Amino acid sequence: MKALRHILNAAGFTTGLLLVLAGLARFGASRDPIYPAVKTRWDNLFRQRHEIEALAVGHSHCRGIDFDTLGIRGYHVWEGGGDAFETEYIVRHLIPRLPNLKVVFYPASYFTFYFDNAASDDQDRNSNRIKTYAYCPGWTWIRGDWRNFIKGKLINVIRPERDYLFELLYKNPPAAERVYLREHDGASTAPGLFEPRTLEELISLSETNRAAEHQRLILDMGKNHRHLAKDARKSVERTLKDLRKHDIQVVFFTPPVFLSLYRTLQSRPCRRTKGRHGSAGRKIRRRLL
Amino acid sequence: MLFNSLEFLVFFPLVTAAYFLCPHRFRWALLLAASYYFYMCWKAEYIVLIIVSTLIDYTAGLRMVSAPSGSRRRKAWLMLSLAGNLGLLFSFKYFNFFNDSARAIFEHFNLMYHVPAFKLLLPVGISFYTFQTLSYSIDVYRGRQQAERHLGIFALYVSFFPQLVAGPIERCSRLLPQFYEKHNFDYVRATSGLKLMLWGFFKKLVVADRLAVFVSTVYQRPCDFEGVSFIMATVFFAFQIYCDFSGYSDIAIGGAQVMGFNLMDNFNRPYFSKSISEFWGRWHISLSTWFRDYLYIPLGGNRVSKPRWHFNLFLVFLVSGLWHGANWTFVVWGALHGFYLIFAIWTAGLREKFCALTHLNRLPRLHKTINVAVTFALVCFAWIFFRAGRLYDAFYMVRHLFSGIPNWFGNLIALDTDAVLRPLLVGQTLEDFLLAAGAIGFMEIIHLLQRHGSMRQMLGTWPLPLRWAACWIMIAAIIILGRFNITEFIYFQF
Repeated sequence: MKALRHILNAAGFTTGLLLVLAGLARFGASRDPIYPAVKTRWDNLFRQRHEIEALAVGHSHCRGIDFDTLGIRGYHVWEGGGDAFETEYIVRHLIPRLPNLKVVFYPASYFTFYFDNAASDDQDRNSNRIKTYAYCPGWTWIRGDWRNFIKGKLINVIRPERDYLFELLYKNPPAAERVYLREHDGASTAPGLFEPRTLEELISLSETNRAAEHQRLILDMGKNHRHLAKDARKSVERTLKDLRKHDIQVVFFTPPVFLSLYRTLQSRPCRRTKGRHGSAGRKIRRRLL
Repeated sequence: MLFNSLEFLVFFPLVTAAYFLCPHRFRWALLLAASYYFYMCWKAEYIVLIIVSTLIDYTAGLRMVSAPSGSRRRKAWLMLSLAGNLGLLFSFKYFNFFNDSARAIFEHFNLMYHVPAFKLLLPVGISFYTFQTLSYSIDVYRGRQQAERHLGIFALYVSFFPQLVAGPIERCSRLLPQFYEKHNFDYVRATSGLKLMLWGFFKKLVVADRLAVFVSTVYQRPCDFEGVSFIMATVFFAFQIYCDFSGYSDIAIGGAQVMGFNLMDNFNRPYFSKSISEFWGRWHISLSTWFRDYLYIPLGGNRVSKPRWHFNLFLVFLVSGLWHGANWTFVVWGALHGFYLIFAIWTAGLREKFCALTHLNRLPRLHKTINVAVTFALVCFAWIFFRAGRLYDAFYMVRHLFSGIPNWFGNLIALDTDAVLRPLLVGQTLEDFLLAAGAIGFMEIIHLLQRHGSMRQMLGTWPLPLRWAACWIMIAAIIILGRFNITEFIYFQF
């Protein structure tokens, strides 16, 4: 009898707690999203999912792809600093949802095989994963990355970047939070793309030397993920297999405006990429395409 | 693995469930495996240190009981245990500190010094488990404790995961017998433990981590700030370290309680202390009592001549400072507390006379309030040395502690809110500041209510819906107001 009472108590408390969490989630969802640009990008994608024929996936080196010039109805789903694992995840979950998808543009850059955002100590990199899980419809997670999966799926309950209590007190969120809304201001009409992309801007972007930062990230991520290069290559292979299974063409490319990054990056990872994965590209082509 | 990580939120329920489902005779093995896994999540290789420490003390304990009391052999085994444990502690924690200090002295006199530095990571919690195992060896040597014959249980005593990395430093006489007891699941005890854990999470995630932003900004670059910011940052740090460490202790004690273990209390509203000696009876109690039992009393305690007594006190606090960290800032912090205590003894008569003269002794409440305020101010002053990255920064802050204060008061009188708030809002918004202050206020109100018994007991007398609502509000407060960019507990580094 006592045990039954305890079970009922625990059940009652848990139910109430779930209701509180649901209330918080609902309230959180009613406020400005944490990553408004990403959310809008995904919402727009699903709004026109029947028309989309091409996708640009991966990381920021996709910035130069202009679907209008190519004459395809395409959409940008890449995220700045996106890694091979996220790309695989996104592609896997988008294939069944985009019935007319024919081509996927996949940037092969010097860090493609050396980035794992979940293995980074940098919180910004981790948030890439959170963004992916938060808005990409899927209930699985990238192997070993359940922490970010939980954070992503609970994005409306546990909102890491803001004290949304204050939104009850203020009409506008406090100044420090406005930075997250900034992406709205630069919204472009290009599908999925929220950043300006004139040729001049692209060139200036490529001249911004981020190679040193990437170098540091490659080292850090490599420390935390022992077989990163091998796993990343396998992930790319899996992505290609998935796409091939659905008769979707893949275009690997390296945008020329980013070549300056190669020049500024320390030569070792470049050589390794070329030596190990340059041939991997060939291997992949031989095996799959 | 950190208590404030998602891993722990999965790990703890799984281990607890497995613990109660497991037959009693295998529970020690389960807990030992869980404890080693818990530690190895941080750095797997360093589990070797715990194992070495365990084996040294296990063997020493058995050998000591087999040797006659007071014999040389018994003493030799104690020495081996002390040398082994303190040797590990010295190598990993203090070698570089003494080496760097020696190098600085040699360089000062233009002498060559070629001893290289160790490039080793400080093992998390090494000071805690070393002291815990030392207490076992000393107790066995003194004949106060039977040697533990079950290696697994002894290994579990050294590495029991709730208190492995930041205490409470448990005595073998309290903890070892509990591993033999059969703990059945007790709903009331489990919910009480969970409530304590919840309170610990609130302290850590809502108060400590929120205060950390302001404190870190000021202490990282003290040259950029003035007196008001220093005072505010130091007061905030006093609460940050309290909430951080006592939050950890609450989670540890609560977690152990869920599984049926009773760990000793580590904090008892320390900022309500009326004197420094009382403060040390309420702050990090497990360490204070450790130093009392294994260093202060063996040195003679207060049953020696007055100068020797004062020396004993000073030495204990100096060692306590060094225990906290291999840096001169901690040594000065410990020395300051030692000095406070000795000064309090010297001036006891004078203070009594002053109270009688000013009739303060007729106003006990006012007297108590003044004592609490003075003690808090002294403790805060010492925290400057504890928190500062280097002695230079600490002395800079001390020198400039009151710089800019007249101007600030001028601005306050002139109601220039921007100028008044500027030094208070370093690295944070007004809302953050108000929240931090509010959280401290809330916590201290709870502490005030706890004068007449624990809050959990009080909560137990409330009707069920109110109790539940209190817990839901607490969880919602943690979710809404907590800082989830995971930060380590401050005491992990010790």
